[in-house]
Amino acid sequence: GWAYVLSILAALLCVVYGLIKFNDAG
Amino acid sequence: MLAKIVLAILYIGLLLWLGYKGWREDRQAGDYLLAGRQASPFLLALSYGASFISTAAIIGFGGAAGAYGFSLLWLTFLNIFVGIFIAVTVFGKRTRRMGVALDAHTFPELLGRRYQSRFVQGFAGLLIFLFLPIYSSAVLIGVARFLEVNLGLNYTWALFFFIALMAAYVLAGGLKSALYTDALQSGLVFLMMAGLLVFTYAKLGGVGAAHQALGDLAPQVPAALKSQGMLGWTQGLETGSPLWLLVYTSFVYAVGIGVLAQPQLVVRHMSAGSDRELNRSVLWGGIFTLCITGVAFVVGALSNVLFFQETGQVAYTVAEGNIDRIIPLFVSNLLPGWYGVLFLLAMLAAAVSTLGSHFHVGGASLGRDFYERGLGSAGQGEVAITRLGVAITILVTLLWGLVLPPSVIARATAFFFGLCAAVFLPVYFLGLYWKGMSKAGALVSMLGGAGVSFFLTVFVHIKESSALGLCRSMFGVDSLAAGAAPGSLGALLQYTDPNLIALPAALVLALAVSLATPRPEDDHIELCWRHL
Repeated sequence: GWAYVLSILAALLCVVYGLIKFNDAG
Repeated sequence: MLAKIVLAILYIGLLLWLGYKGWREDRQAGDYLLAGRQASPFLLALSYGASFISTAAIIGFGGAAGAYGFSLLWLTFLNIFVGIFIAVTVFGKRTRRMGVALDAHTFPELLGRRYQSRFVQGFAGLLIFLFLPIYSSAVLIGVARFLEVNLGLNYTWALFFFIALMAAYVLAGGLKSALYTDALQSGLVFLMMAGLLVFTYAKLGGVGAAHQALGDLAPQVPAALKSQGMLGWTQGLETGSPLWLLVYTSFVYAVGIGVLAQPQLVVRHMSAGSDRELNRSVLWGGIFTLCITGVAFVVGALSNVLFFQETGQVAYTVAEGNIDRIIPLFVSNLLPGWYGVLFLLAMLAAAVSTLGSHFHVGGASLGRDFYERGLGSAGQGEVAITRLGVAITILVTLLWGLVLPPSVIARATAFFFGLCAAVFLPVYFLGLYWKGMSKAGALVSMLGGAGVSFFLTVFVHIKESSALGLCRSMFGVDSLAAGAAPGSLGALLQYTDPNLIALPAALVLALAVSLATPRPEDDHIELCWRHL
């Protein structure tokens, strides 16, 4: 059950990170 | 059948038209990589999604979930957290910057220039050239199984048909990914996987009810799986059992960690235009990977309930023990016909894209990394050797497809990913982060990691050692650990992925030898760290 939930949370982490850094070109 | 063929012709026609459109625009832009910068963000996002679509993940590991259940979901978690998030934030950005500083174009070239060693580049190139075709054959087998089940083609002829299609694609210059065809393919797969999840959960009465129904099937676990440690599809696997070791050390660990050192994925980091592309790839990658592997593994496991309702048998039994056939059978027998043919075409397009990048890497590994740099033959027929490398990679991929046994897609994928992790990951990670990581440390680590991995594969890990037969011919037993007491370390080693041991060994060797040998020269380290 944790594997199921953590997979969704990991995808959410990627989405949040990607949105925050969306225009950060470094 | 006629409807399937008409749909297939229409779809391939659309792909060819989009490929031509992309090719014409690339020619006008003069540079295929820069051409994509003019496209809309939505089109780019869809195109980028194509690189996360893997027929091996959907057919091979989806089938493994059909047989072994929700334990595979730990691989979904690692695919997203390690394969996307860690890959970009910890590895990707530093890889891009060091790649620019060292003017590296391939993964072996990055390692070779970081360690100022022709041997490192040549050895890495040779290893990739020799063993990448095993992973490529896993992709080829997935498509061939789909053609066999969905169109009724003979499996061997399906292998030949698809490899001939790939050879034509490569000859036509299609090695470079085309923006529009990738966007169409990933858009189609994304919609179909999302539809598949909704269809399956709706048919089984919702999320909780579906999982409950799958759990209730535990008494139906086939005897062949029960004897190996299978408790149930939502109950998991008995800790330390052969199946537990297969799923957690080969599938979850080797594939989940090994993705970090995949040569074709490292190049993607190196060729990004800026950190912005990498940051956005985390966003799209997280969504696509959840949609591709998450859905494939959940639906693969839940297919047992639908198969049982329709036939009174679970997926493993319906597929006659060949888990590579579970997803093709599910799509072909339990879903509408139009869906099955669209799914087949999407898998074909995804496999063309994946194998195209594999063949490109295989050719470059032989021509650029091994021949030009490793053997020091710069400027003497590198292009011809690269083309020869592509041709050999295609041929060897077909040969592996012909000789590998059933239920092999996930295992073959895990073998290559695990080998890359053991040989490349310590020197790659330490090379990016530790200025004291030395050439001697890299050489010993790579050779040690490869040596431990090959020794355990040939003499201990029973699945390969018994098939190869060298251990039996030398020592009279299928594995040096054969006959070990149940539950002992020897008994566990027979089923533990060799790279679970080889990777820590390579890491220890890299650290110990680097600490005991002179640091790289300051000028070189300054060059490597110029953009970091």
